[in-house]
Amino acid sequence: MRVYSNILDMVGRTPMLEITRLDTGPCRLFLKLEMMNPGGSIKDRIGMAMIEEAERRGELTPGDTILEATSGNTGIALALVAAQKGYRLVLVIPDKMSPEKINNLRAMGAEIVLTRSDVNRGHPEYYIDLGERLAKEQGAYLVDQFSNPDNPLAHEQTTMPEILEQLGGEVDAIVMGAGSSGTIAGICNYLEKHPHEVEVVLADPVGSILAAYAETGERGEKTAGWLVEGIGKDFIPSITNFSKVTKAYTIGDAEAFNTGRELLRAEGLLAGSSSGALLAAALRYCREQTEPKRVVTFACDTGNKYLSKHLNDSWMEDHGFIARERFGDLRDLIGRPYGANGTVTVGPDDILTTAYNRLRIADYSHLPVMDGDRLVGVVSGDAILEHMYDDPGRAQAPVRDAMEREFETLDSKEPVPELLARLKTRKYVAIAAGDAFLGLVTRADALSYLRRQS
Amino acid sequence: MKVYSNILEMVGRTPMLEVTRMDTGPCRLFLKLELMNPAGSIKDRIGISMIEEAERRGDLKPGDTIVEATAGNTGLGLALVAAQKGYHLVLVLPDKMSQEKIFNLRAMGADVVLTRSDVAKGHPEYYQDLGRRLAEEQGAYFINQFGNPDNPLAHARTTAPEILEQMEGDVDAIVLGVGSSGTVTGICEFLNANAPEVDLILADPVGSILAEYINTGKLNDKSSSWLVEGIGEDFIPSIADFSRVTKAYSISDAESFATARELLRTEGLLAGSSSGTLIAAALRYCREQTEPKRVVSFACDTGNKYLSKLYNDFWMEDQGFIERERCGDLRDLIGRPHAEHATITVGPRDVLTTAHNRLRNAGFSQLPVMDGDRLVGVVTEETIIKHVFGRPELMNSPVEEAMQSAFIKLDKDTSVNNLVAMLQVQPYAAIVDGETFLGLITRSDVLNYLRRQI
Repeated sequence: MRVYSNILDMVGRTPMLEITRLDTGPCRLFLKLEMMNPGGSIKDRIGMAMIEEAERRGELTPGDTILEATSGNTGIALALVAAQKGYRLVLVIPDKMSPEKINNLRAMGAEIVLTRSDVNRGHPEYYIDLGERLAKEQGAYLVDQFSNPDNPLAHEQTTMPEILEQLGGEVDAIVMGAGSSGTIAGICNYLEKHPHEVEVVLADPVGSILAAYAETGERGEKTAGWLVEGIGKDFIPSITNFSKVTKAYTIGDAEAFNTGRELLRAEGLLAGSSSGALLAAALRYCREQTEPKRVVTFACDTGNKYLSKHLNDSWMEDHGFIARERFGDLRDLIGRPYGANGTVTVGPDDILTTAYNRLRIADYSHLPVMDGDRLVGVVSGDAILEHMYDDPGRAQAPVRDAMEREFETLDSKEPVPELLARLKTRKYVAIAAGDAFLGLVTRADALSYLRRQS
Repeated sequence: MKVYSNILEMVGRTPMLEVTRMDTGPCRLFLKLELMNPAGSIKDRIGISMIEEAERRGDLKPGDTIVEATAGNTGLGLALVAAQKGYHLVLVLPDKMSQEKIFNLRAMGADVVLTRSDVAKGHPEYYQDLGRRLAEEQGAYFINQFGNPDNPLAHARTTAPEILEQMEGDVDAIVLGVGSSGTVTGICEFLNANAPEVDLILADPVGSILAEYINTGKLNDKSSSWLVEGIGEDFIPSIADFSRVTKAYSISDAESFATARELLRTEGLLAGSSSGTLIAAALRYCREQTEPKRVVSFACDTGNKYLSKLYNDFWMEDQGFIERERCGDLRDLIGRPHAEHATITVGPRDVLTTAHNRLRNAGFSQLPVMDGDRLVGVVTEETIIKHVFGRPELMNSPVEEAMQSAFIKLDKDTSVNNLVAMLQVQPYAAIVDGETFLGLITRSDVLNYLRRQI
């Protein structure tokens, strides 16, 4: 139980957790808990190294501006270090980033420049190109983690020696992903200088070009996009060193996400999507072994940032990664089934503010209005706003004043085309079995259903 | 750098961080980093003790069902322990809880029952009454942290001795908040026996009845509600022992949130809203001292769960906690100004899937369609659905085919009354200054603006 006087002292020296509830074949598997770094990811290490090495060379002095193009954890790490050391930090970020991540970075004092995420390398608004240009214009220090040798240096000097220390030097294999490729290059660099019988195994998303490059040296083209964040690439970063890589696994999104969920359920560890990919590859490696081996992989970042993605059942269903129980009737189209207390509802005598807050928190477009077990109306965000619009005092009015009472109800056994026909003129239809209300089907629900079918 | 074989071993023995960049008067202030517990909060400690003590008494054995009514971190703490020890956990939650927290609990294997959040103690659907009833019906073990002596026990046995050990016995005051009152009661008990010279200081949200009870002995009714989560009460929990509390501070939401934000900016620590309250009180206490004292407070939970709230500038503005610069024209009503890179946009030749994903990610109901710097249209979930309905393959068609190109465009100098009239017709209007697009105003932006005027 240490007492720190600066949060940067808390970077690195992360604990390990042995996997004991997942099938590791004849092997023992240890996760290095990089999510325990104060910025929540392994990138804190390179945030420190890339700034402190530049200081040592005299290229940075407090008060200077640091600039980086990043869509992820490197931004958080740099923000952490920059704030503690008194640098101005500008981050160029593609606009597909989640608002939570942007909020986090702004609140840490970083200046955010959002740019388009729909353009490629070479376009002036591509985030990396824009970053290079802004750094020149502002005379800022461009970090450029993809070509910055201080990135692998962090792992050569800290990550790898820590692993050997924690496992008493007995490590047979390390499984890792590559994004900037700093981790893998640093560990390969270390092993070139300090020979050790350690296999380096790459975990790469399906679609990325790195697995093929690591195994055959071929620079292929990206074959598909992937949803796992922070690993996989469509180019070979210049700092890469794959010299000690003996094997590479390509992992699909579904396997990565499901393994991440399994890790939480079985071992209690809330980790991000890339950790799911690494763990999936590590488990495959372990199960393929015939001799007992000691294997290390990483929980690269905390899963707190992914609660609305792979840890959300609805998101997993919408993306087709988990299948919901199918009934072969209209129940299959209901986005948020009523019953089992799963659906958010409102009562006719609740006030509109309550209904509006519930809609916003749940991110629903419509709420069923239930009087006991009976559906008496449907209320939408638009209807509430329209009702309050001239007179904000009506926020205190009961839901019954703004709800729609004239909604259509279909029995769950009616055919799907019948439902789709109704949805051409209505925004939603209530589904019932006899008197029992089963849930609403909105147009968005129908669309998700059709996307799943196609 | 420890190697753990089970995540429950990682609960407790949290480090401390000294606050060095905020004004602590003549005092030294140390934060116990409870956010480093594996499920992210101090409640992990009571999750373990409330289950393990029941096991020891023979009240629980693996396979049994545990029920708790909770709106917060206690659910995560219990889910962590229940999954590792093989219990079925049912959590009853008020339906105002954020979706993220519900996903997190479900992904940890807990059964979540949602109930109404608009009813008070005594109503059968109030979450605590419902929890008690479900536990009785199912023959389950009802945890009831507010009346469970194993809750303070955790703090008497672990939290308080750890603080004394870390501070080498040299502590003058501990500043804490009260929700279930487990922390204060447990620490009281330990200090009575081991360190009777240490003062306890209460940090309480404005509106809660506890601060006045401590300072004057008066028990009033709750005077208003507060937004800080997890502390403050409208009743005195049955396990409460306030005998060592010498002083209480009432802290407003605004001060709590501002302090949490300052903690992140200056010390780099991302903590939750209640930590903001505690540290605000601790700083007030420290600055009032004339002698140097050693003061301890808590970073109770991680701020990752609050990124869309107190760490979101727009949420802070909407709630009136931070003031945006006023222009005296329609710009004051724009919820997400384009020039501040606050808007998410889409290009006319992006495919509809991209637009749909961005809308859903950002939680907006409409996106401006920008061709370079020119606003050429607006796309809403509604327009996408109408366009692709029955023809899901059209999700791959360009945005310009589905967008609304006829929309209300108003100069920033238009009167608010005119804007309000125009918004009766369409749910949003684009605000321009000559040719420059400034942002969209939606009906909910107008409502927020009107609310702020009251």
